[in-house]
Amino acid sequence: MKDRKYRKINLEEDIFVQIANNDSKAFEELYLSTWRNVYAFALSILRNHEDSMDVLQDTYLKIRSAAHLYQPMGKPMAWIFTITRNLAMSKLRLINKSESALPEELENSLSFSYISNIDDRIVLIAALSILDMEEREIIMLHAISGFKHREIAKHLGISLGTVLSKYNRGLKKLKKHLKDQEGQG
Amino acid sequence: MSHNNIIQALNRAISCTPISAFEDLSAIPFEKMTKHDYITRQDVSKTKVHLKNYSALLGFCLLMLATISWWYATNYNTDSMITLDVNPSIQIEINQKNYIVSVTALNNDAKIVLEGNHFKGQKLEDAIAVLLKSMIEHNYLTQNKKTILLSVLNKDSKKADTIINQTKKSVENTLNAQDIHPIIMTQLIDTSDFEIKLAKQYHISLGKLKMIQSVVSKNPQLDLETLSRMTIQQLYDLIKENAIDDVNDHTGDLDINK
Repeated sequence: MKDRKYRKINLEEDIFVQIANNDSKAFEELYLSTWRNVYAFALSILRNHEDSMDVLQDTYLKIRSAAHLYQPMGKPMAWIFTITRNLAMSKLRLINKSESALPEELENSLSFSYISNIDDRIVLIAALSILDMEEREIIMLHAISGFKHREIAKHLGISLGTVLSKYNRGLKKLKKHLKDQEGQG
Repeated sequence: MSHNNIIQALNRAISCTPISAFEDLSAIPFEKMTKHDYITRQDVSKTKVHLKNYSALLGFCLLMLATISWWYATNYNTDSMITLDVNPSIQIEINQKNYIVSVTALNNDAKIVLEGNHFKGQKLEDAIAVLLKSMIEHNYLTQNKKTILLSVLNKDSKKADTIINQTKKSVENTLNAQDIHPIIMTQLIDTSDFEIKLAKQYHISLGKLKMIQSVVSKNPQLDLETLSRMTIQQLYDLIKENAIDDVNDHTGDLDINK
């Protein structure tokens, strides 16, 4: 449970006002407290570390450029995820990567070699390999960003029932895949 | 591996990501946007905008409803009731703006007077003029038969008073133009369900009923049935002959003007 203590982000909406006023400390605070969530969400769409890093950077540049246009809605993270998603989808269309990339491509990729814990790397690569995009988004948003299922449903524009079933089905798929891998090992 | 372990593994894996130093990110030049583009637009705002639109629509609908209700109340709801008695007994209902809502014949003579005339939507004074001319045409009003009873029912006594004065003036103007100088009795009336039934039973107006009740209360030998068959002229003569100079006790406000 130690790892889950930083899941929830308590972001005040006026941080965008401060960023709009060129407050670099506020911008740094936003970056440091949210980059994991932005990166994880981008990765759930792109399944590629380098592309996700590009989107991560572009997301914060966009936030900086448009912070003064932000209209308070009570959900500052939703806006950040909207930007991330739009950038990631745009990149996906640009690089023409499809959902049908073979799991072996990811498993053999050196992109995630920075993850020193092999088990953790295997789980991440498995999640990116075998889950469909919605399952990845839902699991990442819930597990890493701390979005409630209800919030995910709203953010992705799908029903709460779909979110719950895809979340559970995704985790079961992942569990089974990892078990099968262990068996093979 | 449990679900919880999977989640924790994903958390740890993501936390290992080597990210750019903040200094590098903040050093990248940027330009402030003048408006949202398709990347930064706030999708959530759509819901709020829709809600705002719905609120505006709801507000508009309520305003329209209130306006229609007010318009209906002003134009179609009866604000005052006037009874005009000669022998024809006519009940006139008007709206807040003194336009005719309905005109009803209360006896057979009144049916003759109303025949072929439509009053709905007309100004009260115009309708009064038409009614009086019809009464002249049918010889209910002549230089000798010239007594009229005007009664007004309105919760607002000030308004009732204004209406009765205006109507009286209209009657005088119309009849004077025909060389008839009327005797006009006026009264402000209230009513009860019992009196409404009684007036219907004797085919007389509420105004005439109130007047008769006043006369009977001063002359117990007289009765409602007999008096209900009399014209206003005959009732007026009776009042004079019997020196019933105080018929106001019951109606409260009978005013006789020669």
